[in-house]
Amino acid sequence: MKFIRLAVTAAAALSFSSAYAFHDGGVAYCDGCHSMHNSSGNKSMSGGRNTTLAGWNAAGKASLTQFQGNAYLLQGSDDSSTCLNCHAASDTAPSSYHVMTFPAPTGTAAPVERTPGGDFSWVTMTFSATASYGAPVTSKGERHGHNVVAQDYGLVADTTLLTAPGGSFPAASLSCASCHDPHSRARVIDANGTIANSALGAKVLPIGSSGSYGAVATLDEAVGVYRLLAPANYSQMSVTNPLPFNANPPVAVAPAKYNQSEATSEVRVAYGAGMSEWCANCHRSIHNANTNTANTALIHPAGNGALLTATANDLAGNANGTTIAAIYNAYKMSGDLTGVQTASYTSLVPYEEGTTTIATLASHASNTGAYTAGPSAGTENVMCLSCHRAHAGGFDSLSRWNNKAEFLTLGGAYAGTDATGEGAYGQYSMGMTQAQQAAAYYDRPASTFAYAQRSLCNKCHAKD
Amino acid sequence: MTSAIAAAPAGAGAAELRAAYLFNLSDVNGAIPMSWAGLAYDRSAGELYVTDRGAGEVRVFRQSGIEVQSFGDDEALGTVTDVAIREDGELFVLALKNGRAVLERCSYRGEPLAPLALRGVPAAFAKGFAPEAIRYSGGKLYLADKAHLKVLVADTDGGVQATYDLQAKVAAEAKNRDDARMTGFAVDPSGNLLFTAGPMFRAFVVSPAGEVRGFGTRGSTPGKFNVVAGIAADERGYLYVTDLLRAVVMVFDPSLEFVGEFGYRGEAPENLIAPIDVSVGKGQVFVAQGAMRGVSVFRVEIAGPDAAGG
Repeated sequence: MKFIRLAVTAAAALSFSSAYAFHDGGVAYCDGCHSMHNSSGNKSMSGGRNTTLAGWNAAGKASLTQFQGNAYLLQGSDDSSTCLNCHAASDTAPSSYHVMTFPAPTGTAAPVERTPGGDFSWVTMTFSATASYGAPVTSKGERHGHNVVAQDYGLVADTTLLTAPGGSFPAASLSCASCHDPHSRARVIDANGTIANSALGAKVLPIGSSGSYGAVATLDEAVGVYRLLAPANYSQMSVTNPLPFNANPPVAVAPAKYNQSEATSEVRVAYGAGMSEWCANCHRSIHNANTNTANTALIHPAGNGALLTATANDLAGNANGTTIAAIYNAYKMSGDLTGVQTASYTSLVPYEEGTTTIATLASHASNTGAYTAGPSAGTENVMCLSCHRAHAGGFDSLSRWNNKAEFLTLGGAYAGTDATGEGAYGQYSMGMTQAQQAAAYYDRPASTFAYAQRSLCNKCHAKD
Repeated sequence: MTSAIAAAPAGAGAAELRAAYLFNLSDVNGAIPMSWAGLAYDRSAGELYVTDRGAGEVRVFRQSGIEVQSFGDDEALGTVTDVAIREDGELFVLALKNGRAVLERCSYRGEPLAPLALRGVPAAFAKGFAPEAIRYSGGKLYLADKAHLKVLVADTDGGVQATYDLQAKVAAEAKNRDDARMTGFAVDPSGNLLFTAGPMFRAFVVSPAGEVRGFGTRGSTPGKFNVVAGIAADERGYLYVTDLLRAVVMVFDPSLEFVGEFGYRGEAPENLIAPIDVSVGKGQVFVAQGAMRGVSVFRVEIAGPDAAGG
């Protein structure tokens, strides 16, 4: 007889490429999301609209009248709810393309999904605590991510930032389709990552499969762009007078399995180029794409020109004696600068490689720890996602680590309301338990960090 | 009672589906708002166990739809994932504790009695088996690892009686292997395993001998699968399958022929939004929805050449 404990373990790495049946890198079949006539089997498919809706969808989702479709002929209550019908799940472990734990966890439980973009349920979780000096500490849910509106899934508009920081996109209209083009007319047409868009008067290769996992276009068919991100001139139909995008999607490659605990192996998305420029489609005034040698831009650089070869203090008396890249490679944890380039990468501080060559990126994308090298080519650059998660995370400002506290770990353990010693102080725990903190760091053991770990800004700046 | 919209296939000799909305599961304050609850029906007592993941507790309802008790909100059991009910009322609670799935025997009140350890687990299931669902049928417990399409069958003392590794057979039908995972899972009174695979637009019936039958085709017309989720069987072998995107419950006869469907998206009481789970018993169909619409209860009657009615 053999006794076991039921163990939740990560699935073995899968060697196949993920094309995913529904999107296939481009527009899916139309009636997957739309009802053309609000009629099926000669019956109305919907029973009336939600009169509590506001904003762009107030005009009436769910027509009562047979043969009269809903706004945008959508099947879902709104466009994000339509997406989350597939992309939300009540999983107990990270699973495939699920980007939201639903229903959102309660009590001391933490979100389950671990996609690189993060789990949207964090935006529903507000944490409160009291600092050691008596001040209240609050980490509001809406500060944890992009507040897409999805009424069926309890996701509501940001009540504080009413437009995109650095831009004008209205928070009330933010949806999955604000960033991802569900019809995805952009495509990668060659092995060099060249992006082309369908347009009136133009002829481009048709999209044959997903381009998110390293597939390369052939002479006959293109692949989709990374994560169906929207292309230049994208203008969301459901938003009034949107500012059309001016940048194409970034080029990047993800490993086939990317939603997993990083307790033992990190998920390395090989970001190539263009991410920050693309984020600036909505956050234009925040964006500074180049390094700032003259120290005049007064915005942290992020973009194709923000190279990690920028000079930095070598901590030996030379203000410009080394590079950001050299610090990245040397930095292991607070106080420990003995790292080596071949093993210096961390998915908590990713960067772009400065290439759009699909084969190169595909060889670097991994979920098994097979490629851990840090910057070496001289083309690497910092990007928005070096510090922020695209969807949501446990910390304010969508940051990958807690930027509101001096320490991420104290006494060799995560801070948390249930920690012993200083780690229980509200200014460190932010009101989260140690398990929730660990979840926000994708289950890395606290021993990954220093006994008293400072901000991961230091991965590039080594001020600790 | 409000009649629900029901569509059915045309044709002589076809069974006829009649569905009527009855009420939503409630307490003394009225209908209880919940999203994406998990459902388990106790045929012996005529009670429905609802895992309210949003509130972190298990609520128990009589056939009349009124809540009679709840448990699990103190996290003593961990985060409850699912619950199965034996004829005598003893509960088997599947929960997450410190990131691990644990199985606990509990009294009918949800009071922990003892952990249940599995015995005689074959090597292929001894490592990496991560159950997310539990069902009870015919004196056996069925534990499903949805992500890996594995089902382990045990007696109520934990002795393993059978295992099913369905990955290879189901993935053979999938356009992509990642699509081959269970969305909904159930066991019918005959011990057949029932599950849906939403991304595959398919549902499956697996006999106790391991024979796999798939059914369903992609589409958005009556009887077609868009994003299927919950699945359940009634006492006569009729299957009920929910579709998240089409917002319907589809009914299939024991030979897997489509009988009819009801629900449809909307805000009216008889409509559905994102129906994730379904359970059936004594002529009533319980449907767990999103958008805090709780659990709607329908009376369903099936009349036809080989159906005696609800």
